[in-house]
Amino acid sequence: MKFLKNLISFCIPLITMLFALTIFTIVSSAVDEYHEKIRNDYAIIVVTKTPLVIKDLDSIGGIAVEKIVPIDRNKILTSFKNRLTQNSLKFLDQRLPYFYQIYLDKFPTSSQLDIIMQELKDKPSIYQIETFSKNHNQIYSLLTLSAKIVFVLYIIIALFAVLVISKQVNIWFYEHKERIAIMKLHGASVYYSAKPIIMLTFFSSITSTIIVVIFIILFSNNSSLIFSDELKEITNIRFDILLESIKLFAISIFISFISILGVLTKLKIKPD
Amino acid sequence: MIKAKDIYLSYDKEKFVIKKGNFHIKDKDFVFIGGTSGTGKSTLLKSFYGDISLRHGDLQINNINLKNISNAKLRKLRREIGIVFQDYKLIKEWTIEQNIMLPLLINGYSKDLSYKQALKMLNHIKLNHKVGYYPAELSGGEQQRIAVARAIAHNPKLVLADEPTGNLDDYSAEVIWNLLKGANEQLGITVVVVTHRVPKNFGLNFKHLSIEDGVIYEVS
Repeated sequence: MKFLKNLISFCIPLITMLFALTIFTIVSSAVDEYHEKIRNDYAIIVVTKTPLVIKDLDSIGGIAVEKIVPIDRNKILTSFKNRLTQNSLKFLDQRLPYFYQIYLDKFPTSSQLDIIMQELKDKPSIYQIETFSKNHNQIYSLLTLSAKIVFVLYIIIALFAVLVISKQVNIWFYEHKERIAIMKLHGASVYYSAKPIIMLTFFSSITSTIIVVIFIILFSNNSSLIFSDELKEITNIRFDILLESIKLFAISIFISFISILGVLTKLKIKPD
Repeated sequence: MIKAKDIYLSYDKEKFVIKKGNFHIKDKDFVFIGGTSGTGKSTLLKSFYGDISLRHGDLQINNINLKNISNAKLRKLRREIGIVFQDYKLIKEWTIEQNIMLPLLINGYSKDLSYKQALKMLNHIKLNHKVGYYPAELSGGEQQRIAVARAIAHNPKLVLADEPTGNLDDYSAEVIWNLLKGANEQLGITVVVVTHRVPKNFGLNFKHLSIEDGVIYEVS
């Protein structure tokens, strides 16, 4: 009964911390997913007087250019075919500028976009640039902000978890101070005396990980119930359950042992 | 086994409990440390297992110098000795055999071997019928027998006992003296006992150290 009580008191902060970490993973995966999506869709359109020399433009604003796709001029001319005379079409063909779609390797931030605009403007052949980035950028910034907030929350919760676990370890040492003193008189080290609490935190880490992994499995199988259809594009997150479990277990063990080590070091340096 | 040269012991910097101590305890000796209450008998014994630090002088236990001893060396020394306390100091949430197993486990023996040795010790102290009992379920005399069994279970070179019969009736006290005598005679363990009353008709050669006004004298 006492073991169960101790196990629960260790599991609560660990589970809270692991949940916070899982939420952070979900939000940052959604941000990455969205980032990938807009990166694939996004292109800067430039209008030039003369054909663009593609190899001169391998990177702009510090971002590599993935590809440059010329927009077919004939398509534009065809759209005017019924409305203009043959002579006017010929004239238009002579005067029509060149259109290009520039695809970047990475979705640019607002500041990178300013540099890109400036670099493109500096090229004499380019006289019109359209970035279409405003809407994308706002959503992306919002998502990045949420990921950062969740990360800060995760760090705060992790610190609280360390504090709560340290407190529990301290209580355990207080409860067992007589036993520890007797063991010490027989030549046991602090680490030897702390064996039961080390084992307890190990079991707590396993239990907490199992609980959170069950939550992840339930979440990934029922994400459509939690998120609306509009959010499907960015919440279509696939978890590698094994990898996540290892990650969560490693973090809970790390947090538990950091807490224990802190208390043990304090006890070790404290004079008898 | 124990060599003390001009040792000074105190709990604070001003008042010395032991002002001068020079003595030599040889291997396999049986030693009583006597004196009236408050003369520093227990303090002297505590210094043997490093529970109180030396202020001055040199103290060697089993070739380990206790002056400025490191934590690791102190742990090593404590693992090599057995201690019997007046208040038994048994772990109340452990069974009696688990208590006897403690020094064996700390010394690195396997659980199986430690358990077998604990049963052997329980047999030796005639408490084998109490396997699985907790200390609180035993009388004071029986608890002290467990404490003696724990002190000698790992066959140490030295056993220190602080008023081991102080809380016991005459019969239980005699059982404890016989166990300590047996440890000395049969196992060759050096035994140092703090007591305010040396038992009559002890039936064994022993050395007697007495403390008066903080000075240690060898009586016999």
